[in-house]
Order: sequence, then structure tokens, then C-alpha cells
Amino acid sequence: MNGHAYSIEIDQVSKRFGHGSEATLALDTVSLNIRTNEFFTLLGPSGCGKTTLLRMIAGFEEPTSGDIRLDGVSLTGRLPFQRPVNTVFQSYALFPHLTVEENVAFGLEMLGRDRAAVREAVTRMLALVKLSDYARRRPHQLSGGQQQRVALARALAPHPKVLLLDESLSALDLKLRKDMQVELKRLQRETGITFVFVTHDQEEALTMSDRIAVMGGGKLQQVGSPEEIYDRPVNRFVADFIGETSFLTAEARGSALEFGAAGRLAEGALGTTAQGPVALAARPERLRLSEDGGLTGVVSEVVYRGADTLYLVTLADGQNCRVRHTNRLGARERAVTGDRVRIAAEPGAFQLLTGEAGHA
Amino acid sequence: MPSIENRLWRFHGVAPTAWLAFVYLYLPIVILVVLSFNANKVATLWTGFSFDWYLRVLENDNILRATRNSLVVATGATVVSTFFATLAALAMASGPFRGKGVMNAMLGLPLLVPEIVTAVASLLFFLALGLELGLTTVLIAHIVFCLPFAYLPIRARLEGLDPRLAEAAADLYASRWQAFRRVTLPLILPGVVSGAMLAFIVSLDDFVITFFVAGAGATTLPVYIFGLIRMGITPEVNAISALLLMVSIAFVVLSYRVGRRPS
Repeated sequence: MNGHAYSIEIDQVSKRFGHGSEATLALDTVSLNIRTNEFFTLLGPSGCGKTTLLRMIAGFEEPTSGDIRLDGVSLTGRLPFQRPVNTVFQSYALFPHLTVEENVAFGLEMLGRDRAAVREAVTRMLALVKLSDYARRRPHQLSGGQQQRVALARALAPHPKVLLLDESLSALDLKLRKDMQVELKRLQRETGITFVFVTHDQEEALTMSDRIAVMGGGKLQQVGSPEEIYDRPVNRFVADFIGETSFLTAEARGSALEFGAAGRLAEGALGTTAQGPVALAARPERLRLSEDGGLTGVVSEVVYRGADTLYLVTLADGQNCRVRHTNRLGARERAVTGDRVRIAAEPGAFQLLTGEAGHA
Repeated sequence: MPSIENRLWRFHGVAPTAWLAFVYLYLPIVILVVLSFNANKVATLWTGFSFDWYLRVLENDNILRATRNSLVVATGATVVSTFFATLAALAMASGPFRGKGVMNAMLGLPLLVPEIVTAVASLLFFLALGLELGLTTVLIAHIVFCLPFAYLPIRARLEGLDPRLAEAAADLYASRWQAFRRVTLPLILPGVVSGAMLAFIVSLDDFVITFFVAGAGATTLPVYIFGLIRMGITPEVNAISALLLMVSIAFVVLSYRVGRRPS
């Protein structure tokens, strides 16, 4: 079975819930390939179809049409217990009547492994998630973070080909979530298992993933590395969902961008050679307030946020634009509300959004 | 569940009303138990303390036979009705299907149908089938009316069960049967035990239906007590009733405690 570049192939998969007029299309012809040993994240707002897709890989739902393959073999018709795939549930779904070690042993026992092998694997897994001292406890005696690690150990113990994680960190508080993010990444490296992670938290996705698939409205919006997704969002949905973005329209002429009354940016602010009216997205940290900037506007608001300060600027042509500066010790504020400012852009700061007609 | 004090739920006169209600409910039972220890032959005339009536109950072959009948019927009805109630509850929890609402209502409906209607209907049904009235007909009738009592606690328990647990079991390579055996059953067991105990006590108690469908020789304890009372209330009746009461209380307490066991 090995030798396949892809661990999971999702081939034109659609999922419809309900019948007739009440039917909803949860997933609309999604195709994507997940590489072996990859930390792959399905990212999107709630209701975007990411969890449905995960549940179809696990076997809890069957696709209405299309096919899902694992190492080149179709999973269609295979029940959850017939798939070498394990899930870490959002609510953890630990068995409340079993101890921590019994929970972790469950999958191996169901696979019919002998006692010694099960005990050895359980010991190893509990050490991996740093819960060796809690083997005899029951789930309700553990904190949320500990329960989460038990769920992880339980899913990893049978050494599945793919580990599915359904919003598995969202129930934890911020500090614990940060720790678990690092921990998950470590576990993925150490076990060499393909991780498919579902989250609505873009920061989580950017920190942990090798690649991200952004989903919206049951459709696949963009697949790429965190850098690609962040720096080169292909459409408004992706640009809007991930990070902070200013959406602007301009006229591309030659290598320049013209913003009407607000002025023009000369030297290749747009990464592509598109011409005419264009819809653009720009990250606030790719722009700066600068004396020699090509755009003019008035600061409408200044938001201090500790590590950086966000300036909301109304351009002279009426469009709104966000500019972010990192704060340095002892540095004065660059502008206050009502100041007239000029804005400059890094080369390639503006990203062309496809599927939209821009108008200056 | 820690109870939270709520000032808004405090009303005047709750305590006296509660006491009145408790007296109304339990005073007759207390009097019955007290009079079962009465030395006098006239049940309502207290003359002195005695265990005589209890001894006489235990020496009475008819009472012992009726007790055995009651226990056989109650045990049989409990086992069979709990088994089917568990299957029904599992089916109802398996997800939406056509006619689920109707079916759920029909499972609980026997609780609302007047017992006398069920009794007459059962009698006519057995006669129409040509079945001879006896312990078998009593058992069949008891299985039927015990079903909803066994069903409801199991259903309640299943409803409180996270459906993800069954999914997690399946995800961890448990077949349907293994998932049921290792995860679902242990978790709903308190509900099953609770339902079984309820069924047992309801069966042990039943008079109306049993009276209609029991033939000669199939006398159960409540039917026998009714027969005794027609000949006048003796302290013997009080003693049997007190014994029955003890069994009932033991079961209800047990059922309550098992049902409340944390999942």
C-alpha cells in the first residue's frame, strides 16, 4: 500500500443532508490531497463543512457522491471500525466508566493485541502525553487539559495511519491551548502519523500546520502552506477569514496602482501584472505611515494593542485602510486621530483578488 | 449537583403544608404497621404487643403459595420486560426514523390506559385465543404492563448518554456488538437495573389485572389479601401487608440509589 505520495485523497466529495426542499449541501464537490506525515488543517468558520469532511474520513458519515481514498484504497462502504483512522473528539468522548489506562488500551484490545503488547503501548502512550501518574484515575477526576491528552493518547495508541482532530483544542483556555499546540506538533513529529486537524482558529492553523485548506460555504476556498494562505489569499473569503485585511479597489496601470483622489503607488506594489480595475487585499503590516508614501488620508482611529498599534486611515478617495506598526520602547506614537498621513507599501503588499471586478 | 440556595423560591407556609401532606400519605401506613403487632384478634382494637400474626402468616400454606406465585411472576415479568424494554430504548436512541414519535408515545401509553381496561382486554384476548387462565396468562399480562415501567428509566439513561461515546468506540475498532458490550451497556446499566426493579415492584403489587386473568391456583399475594379482607380485616392481613411494604421499600430505595449512580 505504501509508495503513495498521498495519505488521503478526497475526490469530488459532496455531502447532502436531508431530503427534497429541506436538503442542505454541507459539502460541495471538494477535492484535495493530504500528504503522508503531513500536519494538515481544515480551517473555516462554523458550518463550512470541515467537520462533515472529517467525519466522512472517520466513517461516521458517507459521502453523497465522490470518493475518499486512504493510501490509494477507497474507503467507501467501510465502517468506522474498519478504517485505520482514529479521532480525537471535540468533547474528547472519553469512556467515563473506564480508567485512563483502560481508555488508552481500548483500541488495542479491540484490535485483539495480546496483553503484554497492550500494556507496553499504554505505558509508552501515557509517558508520551505525560500522564503516567494518572493511569488509574477516571476521566471526571482530570482537568480539561489532562482529558484532552488522554483522548490524544487513546487515539494514538493503535498507531493509526491518520489521526483526526476535531476542534480538539477549543475547549481549553488560552494558556493551555498554546502549550497543547506545541505538544501536538511534537507528537506529530515523533509518531510520524498524518494529522488532519479541524479548527476555526486561524492562528492555531497558521502555527501548527504544514498545509492548510480554507473552507467556506461547503466549498474549498484555498489550499496551501500557512505562508501562501496568509501572504497570497486567492479571494476575499480567505483574505477576510485569515488575519487582518484592508479591501481596496484601484486601477492597475503599468506597474503602478492608481487610487484616484488618494494618489498612486508607483513601484510594483501589486505582485502581478494585471491591468485595469482591480480588487485588492492588503495586510496592515505590509503598509506603513511614511512621509514619502504615495497615498494620502486622515487617521480616523488609533488602536494600541501592546505589541503593535493599528491605525485606521480614511484615504482621500473615501476608502478605508488599516496600517500596523510594531511598537518599540520609548518610540512616540506616529500619528493621532485626525492627522493627515501618507501611506507607503512594500513591494507585493497588495494581493489581487480573483473572481471580483474591481472599480476605482 | 450542589444545590444553590434561591431566595426567590421561598414561600410562606411551605413547611406546614409539607407536614400535612406527609401525614396524609403515611399515617395510614404507619397505623397498619403498628396494628400488625396487635395482640387482639380485632385488627382495630389495640390490647398489647405480639409477633403472633407474623408467625401465623409464615405458617399459612396458602399465603406461602401465593407468595411463591407472586415471586415467580414478578421475576419472569421483570426479566422479559426489561430485555425488550432495553431493545426498545436502544432502537429509539438509534436516530430518527419514520414513525418514531408515534412509537415513543405507544411505548409509554400503557401507563395512561386505565388498568381495568387493560384487565378486561387481556381477559377477553386470552379467552379468544382459547388460553387456559393460570400462572402463564398472569405472566404474559404482567410482561406487557411492566414494559413501560422498565422502558422509561433505560430511555432516560440513554438520552443522557453522549452519542460520541459510541462513535469513539467504533472509531477505536469496536464492532457494533463490542461497542454495546464494552461501552453502551455498562453506561446504561444503572438505568436497566432501575427499570428492572421498577418492573419487579409493579408486578409484585398488581391486583386488578392479575385478578382478571388469574385462574384457579394462580393466586398471587395481592389477590390472596383481597380474599382475606372480604372475610374481615384481621391482624394477619396487616402483617402480610407490612411484609410486602418492606419488600417494596427496599426495592424502591435500591432502584433510586442505582439510578442515581454517577455515570
